[in-house]
Amino acid sequence: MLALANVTRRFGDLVALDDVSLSVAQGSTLGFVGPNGAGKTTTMRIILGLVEADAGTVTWQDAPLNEAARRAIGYMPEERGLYPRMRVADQLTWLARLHGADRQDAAAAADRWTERLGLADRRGDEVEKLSLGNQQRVQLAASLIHDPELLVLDEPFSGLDPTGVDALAEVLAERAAAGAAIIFSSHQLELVERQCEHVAIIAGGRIQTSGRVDELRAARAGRRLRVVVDGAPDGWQNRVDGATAVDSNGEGCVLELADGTDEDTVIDAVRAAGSLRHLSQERPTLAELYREAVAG
Amino acid sequence: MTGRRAVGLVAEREIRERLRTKAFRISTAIMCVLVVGAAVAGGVIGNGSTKTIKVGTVGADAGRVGDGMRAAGPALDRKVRSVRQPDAAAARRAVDDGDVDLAIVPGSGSRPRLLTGTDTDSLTQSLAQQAFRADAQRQALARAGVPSAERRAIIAPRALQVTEVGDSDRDTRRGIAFVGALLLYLAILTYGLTVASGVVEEKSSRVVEVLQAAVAPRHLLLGKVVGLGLVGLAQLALFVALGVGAGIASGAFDAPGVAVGAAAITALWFLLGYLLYSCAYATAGAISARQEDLQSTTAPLTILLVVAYLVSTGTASSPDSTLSVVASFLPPFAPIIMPARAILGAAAWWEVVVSAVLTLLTAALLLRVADLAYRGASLKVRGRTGLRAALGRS
Repeated sequence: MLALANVTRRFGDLVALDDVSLSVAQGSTLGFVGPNGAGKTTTMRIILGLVEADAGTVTWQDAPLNEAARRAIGYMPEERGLYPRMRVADQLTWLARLHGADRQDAAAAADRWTERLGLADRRGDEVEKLSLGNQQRVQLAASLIHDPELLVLDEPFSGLDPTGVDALAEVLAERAAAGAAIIFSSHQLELVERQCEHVAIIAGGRIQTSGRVDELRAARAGRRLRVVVDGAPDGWQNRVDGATAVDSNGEGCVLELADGTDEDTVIDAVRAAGSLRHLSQERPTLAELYREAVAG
Repeated sequence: MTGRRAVGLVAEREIRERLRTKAFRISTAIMCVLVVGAAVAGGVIGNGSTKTIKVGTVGADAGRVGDGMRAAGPALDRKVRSVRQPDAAAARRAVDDGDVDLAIVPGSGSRPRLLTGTDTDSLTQSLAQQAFRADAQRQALARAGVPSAERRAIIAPRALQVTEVGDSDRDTRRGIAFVGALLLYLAILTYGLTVASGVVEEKSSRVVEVLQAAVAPRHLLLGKVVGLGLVGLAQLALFVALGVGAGIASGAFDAPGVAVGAAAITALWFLLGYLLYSCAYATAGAISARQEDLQSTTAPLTILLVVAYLVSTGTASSPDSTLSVVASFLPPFAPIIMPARAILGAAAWWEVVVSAVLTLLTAALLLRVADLAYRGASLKVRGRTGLRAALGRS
C-alpha cells in the first residue's frame, strides 16, 4: 500500500498541498482528479521524491519510501520527455537497466513492450522521428519497462487517440490484476469512473473527497430522486418543500432532499403537482460528485 | 542500484550516443588528417633547411669562384650548382628571370661583379664573397711562387669548433608547449560546451524528470561528466598519438623523448582542466532553459578559457614571467598554463603538484555547486533560473 499522510508543501506564499492524505492498495487503481493547479502534479512529484514535502509522510508497505523504493516506481511525468535523438529500443533498454534490470532482461522487456504497444517496426528509429502519438506510446513503455509494483502516471491518457486510450486502459487493468498499485491523474472523468475503483478529488491543495467510486455514488444516491411527472405546471420542481431541483441530463428532473426531510413527504408533494409516471433513486455520476466537490 | 552502477550506466549512454553521431565521426576524422598533416609538414619544412643555390658565371675567373662556392657550400647548408652563362647580359637576364639565384660577371678592373636577385639572402652573398677572396689569395700566392702544396695548406678552409650552449631541445619544447596549450584550450572548451548542451538537452526535452525518478541527480551529473570526459580524453589521446607518431616519423621533432613526455603532461592536464570546467559548464547548463540561453550563461567560462590561452602564448616564450608563474597556480588558468611551463621545463615538480591539487580541490567544490544547481533547476523547465534560485532548496 502506498500511503500519503498529512502531506503539506508550500511554494513561497502559495500553499500547494494542505494536509493531503490518500492511499492506494496493491491491485487497485486510484483516479486522481481535480482542476488545473489543484496540486496533482506536486503530489506525484512528492511521491517520486522530486519535490520534498514540508510536512507529512509518504510510505510504501508501511515503511518510509526510500531512494531505492522510489527507483522502482513506474513514472510518467506530465511533461513528457525522452531523449529525442536516441533510438526507441536503445532508450527503453537503457531505462530498464537504469531501473536495475540486467542487459538481457532489459533488451527482452524493450522487445516485449514495443511489440505490445504496436511499435515493433519502429525499434530502430530515433524517438524524434515518431509521431506524437507514438512518442506517447514509447513514454508509456518507459514507465512500464521494469514491471513496477507502483505506477504513478500524470495525465497518461491525454494526447492518445481512442485506440491508444483503449490499449492503455487494457494495460493498466492488466497491471492492477497482476497486483500493482496504480495512481493516475486525468480530466476525463468518464474514463476514471470506468477504470478506477477508487478516486480522490483534490482542489486548492486539499483532498475534497476520496473513497471507492461506487460507495461515493451510493452515499449520495439516497438523497436524490429522479421523477417524471405528467401535467405539472412549469417550474413546479422549484416549489417542492424540503427538496431542491439539481441540474441533470435525461428524462424528468432530479430532486435533492434537504437534510432531515423524509422521502415520503417529497413524494407526496410531487404527486400533488401532477401524475407521477417515474420515480427512482438517482446515483450521481463522478462528474457530478466532482463538480460538487470542486464548487464546495 | 548502487551509485557506481548508475554513474556507469549514464556514462555508457553518453559514450555510446556520442560515438554514434555522424558529426562526431566526421569531425574526428578531419582532425586526424589535420594533425597528421601538420606534423608531417613540420617535419618537411624543418628538414628543408639545406637550400639549393644556382650561380651563373661568365668567364674563367668567375667560373673558379663558382667552383669555390660549390666546395664551401655544404658547411653553410647550401648546395651550390654553377652554371656558365655566355655573357653578362645573359647572366643579368637569368638572375632577373629567376633561372639562377645570383651571377658573377666580369666587372671593372680585376674585381668581378656580383649580380644578386631581390631575395638573395646575405648568407649566400657572403658565401660568394668568401669564395672570391679565397680564389684571389690563391692566385696571389701562385704569382708569388709559393708551391702548390703550401698554397693549399694556407688557403685550406679553417673553421672554429662550435658548441651550442643551453637546452638543445628548447625549440622543440617551445613548439610542443604552444601546440599543447592550443589543444588543451580547444579540448576543454569543446567538451565543456558539450556537457552544458547535454544538460540543457535533458531539460528542454524534459527527459530529466523521467531520469531523476530513476537516478539521483548527482549520479546523473557525474555520469555525464565521466562519460563525455572519457570520450574527450580518448579523442585527445588519438590526436596526440597521431601527431607525435607522425612528427617522429617525419623527423619534425629533434627530441622524440621530449614529445612523448609532453603528451603525457597534456593528457593529465586535460583531465584536471576538464573536471574543473565541466562542472562549471554543467552549472551553466542547469540554469539555462534552452540551447539559446547557453551563449550567455557559458560566456564567462569561455572568456576565462580564452584568457588562459592568450596568457599561454606568452608563456611559451617567457615561462618564468610573473604573469605566467601566477597564472599557472590559479585554478581557472592552471590547466592551460601549468602544462606549458612544465613542458618548457620551467616548473619544478612540486609546483606542478601544488597547482594540480589546487585545481582538483576547486573542481570538487564546483562539483558540489553543479549538483545543487542541477537538482534545483532541472525541474524548472520554463525560463532561465537564476544561479541563486537554482542553488536554493528544491
